[in-house]
Amino acid sequence: MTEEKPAVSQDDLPQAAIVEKRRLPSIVWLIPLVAFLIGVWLVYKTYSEKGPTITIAFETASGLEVGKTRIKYRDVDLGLVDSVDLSKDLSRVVVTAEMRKEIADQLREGTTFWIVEPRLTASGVSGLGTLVSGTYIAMRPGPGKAARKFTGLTEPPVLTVDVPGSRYKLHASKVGSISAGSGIYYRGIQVGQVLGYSLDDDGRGVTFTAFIAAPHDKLVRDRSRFWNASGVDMSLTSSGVTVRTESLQSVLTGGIAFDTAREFSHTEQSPEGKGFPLYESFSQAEEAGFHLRRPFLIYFNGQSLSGLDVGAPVLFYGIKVGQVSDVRIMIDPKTGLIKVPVTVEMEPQRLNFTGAFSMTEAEMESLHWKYMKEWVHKGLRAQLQSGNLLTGQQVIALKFFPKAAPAELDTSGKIPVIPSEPSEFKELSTQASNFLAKLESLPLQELINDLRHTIQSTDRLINSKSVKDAVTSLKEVGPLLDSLKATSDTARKTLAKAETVMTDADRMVGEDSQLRYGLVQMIKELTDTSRAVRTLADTLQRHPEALIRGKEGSKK
Amino acid sequence: MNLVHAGKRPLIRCQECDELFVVPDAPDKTTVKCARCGAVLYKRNTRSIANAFIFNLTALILLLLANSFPFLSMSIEGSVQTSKLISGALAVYRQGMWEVGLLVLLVMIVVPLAKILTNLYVLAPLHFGRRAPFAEQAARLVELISPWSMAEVFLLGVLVTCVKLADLGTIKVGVALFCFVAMIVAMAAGDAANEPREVWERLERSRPQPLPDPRERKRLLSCHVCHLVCRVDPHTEDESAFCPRCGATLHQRKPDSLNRTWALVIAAAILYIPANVYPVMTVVSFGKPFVNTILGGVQELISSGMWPLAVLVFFASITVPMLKLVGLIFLLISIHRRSRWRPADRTRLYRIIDAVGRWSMVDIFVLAITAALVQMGSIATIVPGVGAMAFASVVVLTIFAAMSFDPRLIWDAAGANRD
Ligand SMILES: [Zn+2]
Ligand SMILES: [Zn+2]
Repeated sequence: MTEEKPAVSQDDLPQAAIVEKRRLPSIVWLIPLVAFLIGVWLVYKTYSEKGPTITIAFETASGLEVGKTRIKYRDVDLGLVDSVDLSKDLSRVVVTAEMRKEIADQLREGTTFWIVEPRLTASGVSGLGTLVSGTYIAMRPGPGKAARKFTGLTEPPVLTVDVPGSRYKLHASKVGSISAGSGIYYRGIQVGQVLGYSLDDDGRGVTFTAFIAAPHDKLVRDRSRFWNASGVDMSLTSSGVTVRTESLQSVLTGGIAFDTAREFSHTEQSPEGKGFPLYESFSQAEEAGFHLRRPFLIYFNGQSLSGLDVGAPVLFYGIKVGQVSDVRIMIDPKTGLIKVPVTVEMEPQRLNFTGAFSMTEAEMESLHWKYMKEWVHKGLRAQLQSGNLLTGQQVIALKFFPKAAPAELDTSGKIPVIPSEPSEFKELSTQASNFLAKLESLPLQELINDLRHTIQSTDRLINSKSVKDAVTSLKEVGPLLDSLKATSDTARKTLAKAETVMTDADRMVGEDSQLRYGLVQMIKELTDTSRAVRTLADTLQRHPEALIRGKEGSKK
Repeated sequence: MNLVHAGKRPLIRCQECDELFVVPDAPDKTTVKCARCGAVLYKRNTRSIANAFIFNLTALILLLLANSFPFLSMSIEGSVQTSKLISGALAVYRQGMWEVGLLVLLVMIVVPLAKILTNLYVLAPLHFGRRAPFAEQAARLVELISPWSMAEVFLLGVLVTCVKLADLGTIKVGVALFCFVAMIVAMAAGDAANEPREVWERLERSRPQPLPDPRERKRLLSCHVCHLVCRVDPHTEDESAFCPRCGATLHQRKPDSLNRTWALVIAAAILYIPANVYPVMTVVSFGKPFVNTILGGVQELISSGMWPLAVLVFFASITVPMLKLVGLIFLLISIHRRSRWRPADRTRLYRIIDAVGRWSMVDIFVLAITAALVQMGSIATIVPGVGAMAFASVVVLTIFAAMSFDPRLIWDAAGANRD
């Protein structure tokens, strides 16, 4: 900036300093300032809310999408997948996720992660919702020190949230139809689940981990018995057809039931982690309650033992007091003598001695021994009986035969021997052969000759006029006819009874049976579900635009 | 300092009708318009550089924020899809239509950012009384890319998409969308405040020139970029002459304007057919495609009862391209027929065509945002259709056509510039 100097010389005067007027910045500058402050605040807010970053190692990354897959616990979003990479040795997939700040303290060593996607499991179809919402990673908090590196589970755990309760071990010989997720029932109510199973170290059996949710875990006591309630426990035994199911669910997906005998219902809850045997069926579990067993031998000389199976009951007054544990044929190598010993196990606890509650097991056994001896002395004998005419099964009955030849309980061998009596069928056949022998000794030829002679003379007599007159006067035929009618009535009643039996059998799978009702109900539910899925699929196939503008119904 | 000698003042030519004016001594905060065709010659505002600088700075901050935070998030049946500003372009790119994705990315983020940065590069030193090196080239760049900054059209696309998808799921507006809206406002304010003539005059003043002899007027060429009126010697007219201020090539008229415009218009008209016949996007649901054309999209909005939006989309997608094509063809024919009919109105028509063309991009933006938001795997995926590419080409071609058209030819043909 140059100023034209005036012509007049004023060199001796000092020049005044020219200072440009300092202007304040315009008010418009507030606008970028505000924008800048908002920006700073947003950035600060984002970084202050930034949660911890964790890595989870998975087997596969199936369905995981960067920036989309969420990490959820109880269906609440806790984080978002940032990246999905392979580990350096390509053995695993490493998922990096950013978690919410609030959850930082809950990320501990015991925290588990697994991928939730649609899957078909023992307890039904799960994760169907993820078909629409996409796969997500589920999380379950666990104990331990704070951690940021985790290993994901390959299979989702049975319990996805923390539920109070107790875990127990159940030992069985094989897995059968039970799997992780199978229900555990107490009197038909589901109170827990099977969490998983593993092969025992010695490879001789499997151990299930059972989880019983509180407060039902109190029902597990040291004397509780667990049995496999999977499927339909249908047995055709000497006592008929028995059908037993726990619930429809357990029929389909397997299940375990347990119960405690009434006399132990006052005992304390078993400590967590205690092991129990898992019986194959309810009846086996029931048997297991009578754990006192005393073996006895019985020889049924010369009788066929077909139909006498291991497990066949030993009845006393028609009530089971023991069972057959072994049937075998033994031949003396020197004499060639054939013996067929039947080993039975008597269960003293089944005898229910008065005041048995206060009795020790030893007392009970000695009492049983004492009375067995005494009863055999008084005529107690074992006898084969037909248990079921239809199947030809046989049972062993203990009966008093006062007329039997005197005998004692043979205690000379390792196992005491109960003397036997021939079966009723054998008695019958003995009588029949006696009868035949008598019949044979009759002078038949003479009798026939006499008979022929008699007929000839009778013929002559009938044809005579006097007899004809007599016959016309014969009128007392009525009573005979009456008795004939009674006989036919009885036959009809028998038929009716047979029909009732058939109807019973039919009802088991008939219109109004519970089993059938359950099945029909289940099929209906399955049909409804598949129909709903099909409708959704159809709608989307025919009108994918519904995704763009909603369903017809949602229009204003 | 600028002494104005009597009879010697800076000259200015109207960019739309080529009328030659003496730059008037306009007072502050006034607009100077062409007396013949009504085009704005320049605006006079002493604070224009300061304000443009401030608003561009604001827009820059907001654009950065808009790019770093979630823009929209959509939840469909529990599946949440969060998108950023850039997601739409990426989604279209990933679906295999990289040309459309690139176009969206350019006009939505790259060009606005470049425009803001270049503006700041020129304006900031000017505001503090300095000048940046290569400021002229930078200012030329701003002029060049300005028509391709379409952030405000993108915002309309966001609105249409939100309405369309509202039935399908829950849409949550992210903080970036607010920043984006604020950025558009700041940019609009910056554009309104910015006066290119003020910038050019600050960079280099136009020299006062004696009012030329009417016969000499043809030798006074106006630079297309900086509007400086330069005297070109007759013998150099056939060779290339360059603007002494900005360096752009000087032309009497836009080069080969009619032929270029015709070619572009015809190309756009041909592509306009597949753009409407072929689907713009395809919804693939359970492997079955459902096609969606532009007209179908309007129908959908009508059947959803979104009348105002349907009208808006119909106008932007169907009417505007049609109007541009028909309008440009009309202008071209009228020039060929040397029509003298209402040149001022025809110039106004051109002005409208030029201004409104960018809004046709809304359909392409709707496609991009929808593709970014609706990703439901096998249940529903949005795939851009062939129609989208054709339509994007129509929009781009018509914008180029309008740019290559020289409205001064209207006046030439009408015999108004026979001096
Ligand atoms: Zn004009
Ligand atoms: Zn120039």
